[in-house]
Amino acid sequence: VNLGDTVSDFTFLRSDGSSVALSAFSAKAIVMIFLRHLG
Amino acid sequence: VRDHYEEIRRQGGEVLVVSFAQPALLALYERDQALPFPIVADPSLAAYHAFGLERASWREILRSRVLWRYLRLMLRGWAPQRSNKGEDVLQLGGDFVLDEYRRLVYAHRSAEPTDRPPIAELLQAVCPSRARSAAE
Repeated sequence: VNLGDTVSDFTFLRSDGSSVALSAFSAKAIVMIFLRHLG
Repeated sequence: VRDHYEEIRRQGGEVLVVSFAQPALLALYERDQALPFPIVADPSLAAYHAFGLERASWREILRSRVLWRYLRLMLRGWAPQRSNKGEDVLQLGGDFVLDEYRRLVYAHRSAEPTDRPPIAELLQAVCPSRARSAAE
């Protein structure tokens, strides 16, 4: 994904195993923080 | 970001944390960290790859500059932890900002494990008028 591109509506998993789409998080701006490993 | 979460919310923004951990591990992390914002899992790394997030090499991690940054973090109270079984310790992260139309307006792909963007850059991407008013 490059600057200016529309990001696909990725599907993620919640901690309970259910699915959630990126589009479910609607806001004027979304800060997405991709973590390294949790440990 | 946690310290600036309220400011981000006031600007109409939201924070979404993405991890490549399995959901079960995510549940433990969520409970321990008591994060104020949502956290989701991308165990297939589909989004990580789409956003261009790569794996570091061991050589990169063991570079003196990176070790020095880790040392500084430890002096500030951060304690290194063993990785959870099965987690890829070489996978790098990144910080991105999408606008309301899901367009990518800011990207910072970590070049090495301790490489994070200044919070001011993220806030500026969330609220461009903030930067304009600061310049005026």
